[in-house]
Amino acid sequence: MGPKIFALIVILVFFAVMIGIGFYYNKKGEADSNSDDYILAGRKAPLLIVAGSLFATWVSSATVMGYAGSGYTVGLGAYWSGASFIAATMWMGIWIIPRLRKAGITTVPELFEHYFGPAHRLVALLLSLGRDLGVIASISIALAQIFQSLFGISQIMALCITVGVVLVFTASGGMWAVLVTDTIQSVMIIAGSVVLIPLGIWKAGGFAAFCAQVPATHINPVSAGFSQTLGWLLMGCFISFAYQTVLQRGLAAKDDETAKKCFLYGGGMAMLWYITPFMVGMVARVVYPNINASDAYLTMCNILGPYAGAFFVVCLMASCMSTISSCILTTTANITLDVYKRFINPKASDKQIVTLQRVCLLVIVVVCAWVGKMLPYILELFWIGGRIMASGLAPVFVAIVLWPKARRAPKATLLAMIGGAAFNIAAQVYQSSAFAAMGGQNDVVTLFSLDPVLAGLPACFVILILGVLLETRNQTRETLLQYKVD
Amino acid sequence: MKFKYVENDPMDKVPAPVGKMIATMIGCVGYMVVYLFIWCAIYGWRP
Repeated sequence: MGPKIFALIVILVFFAVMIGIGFYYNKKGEADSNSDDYILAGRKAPLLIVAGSLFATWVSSATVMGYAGSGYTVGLGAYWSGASFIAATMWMGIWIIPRLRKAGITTVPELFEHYFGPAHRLVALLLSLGRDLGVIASISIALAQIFQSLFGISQIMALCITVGVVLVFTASGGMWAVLVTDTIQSVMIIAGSVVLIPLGIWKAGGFAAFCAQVPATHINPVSAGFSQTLGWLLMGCFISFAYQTVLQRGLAAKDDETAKKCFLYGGGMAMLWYITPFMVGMVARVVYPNINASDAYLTMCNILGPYAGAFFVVCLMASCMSTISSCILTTTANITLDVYKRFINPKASDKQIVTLQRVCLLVIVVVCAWVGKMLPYILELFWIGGRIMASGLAPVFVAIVLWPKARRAPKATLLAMIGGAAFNIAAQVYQSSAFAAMGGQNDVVTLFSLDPVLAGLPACFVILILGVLLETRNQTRETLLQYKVD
Repeated sequence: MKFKYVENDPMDKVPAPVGKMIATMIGCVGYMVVYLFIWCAIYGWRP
């Protein structure tokens, strides 16, 4: 049996288990009764499942392959760029999630309408969708490319097979299927990545020999410099704060205490694991000093030969599938609840919404896969949406949750969202043009002299804080009672 | 532009003292930093 046949068997078994879980929850009826069951697992998911799913959501091909590339180029100092997401996630579990659960919402835009109106909901929706659609498109293409490289089939065929499997188990089983498959996938991700480090060190001649060969910059925790390190920290934190896919994990937990523990345990576990791809990259630098940084992880996968390599690659596919399934469910919730039910058919029954959500999953996946295939700069798209969300939506969202005065300032909150996003977009456009004019290759990823998040965030904060203080300065109890709702 | 005032908002029933929020953020980032520095030290980095 050749390595390709072995890989095919492993993948078929893996796909069969994923689809089986989807059908199991469909037959059990857990995903059929209403939208809360379908999108939030009926708000009764247990600790282990939510923590495992949270971990898997933070791990994708972008994290595994991208961060291994960063580890190859920069070393362990690049850990800040990934771990900052996790630090913010743990913090959210303590302060943001318990409050959101009290609000009884399903999506982030819903919270905006809860306090303001449809204009806020629409702006928040647009800012959320940019990131999620970019993630689905880019990771769908990455998943297809891995499958294509294993079996030598066309990209479109690889895309249909891999994304088709994700679609089947997500559409049939809803959030329950996503939570359980995510947990299985997280075990595979840990097993398929951590083991590469000792194997690489062993190949380098042992620990002492490895330490003697590794460049000094690669073991310096701030090798990227203070400014870049701070930029990574801020961007990671603010992208996390409004990352709906993660927030919905907290809403799906069975009670407040479970939600808090899920974020602390899931985040704590992810934080420990997150050093792994950077270390794999650093080890690859010593063992394979003349490869492309982006090939570091896949090259390390073959360190024990093609059979073990096939297993490691299946683990990588698991990481892609867990992220796509979570993001399409989130986007489905946005489109069906924030657009269809809110603006088109407010009287739609729960059964109709769940049916529409299944159709919506298919449409989202097809559109994203098509966009991902057509656009060559998909990696940049992945970040554009995240940066805009971090600069426009995240600070206002956190303010609404934690600062009661912000809930009484409709103009300031709307302006802050639009202003933060606009400053970010302007910084991205201006710097991308300047980068291109200097001969930079900005068709894949743009290198910024000042991260656009650092332009958008201060603008958003200034508008938000000054605006809220000005707008609420004359509000008395009598004024507030005019706007009171039950 | 209007807003909806929710008296005794259920969200505010969950306490969120500023000092503790800042302290926990420092704790979460500190956990990350300490963990990174430990690994760098294991591989031979010295300040």
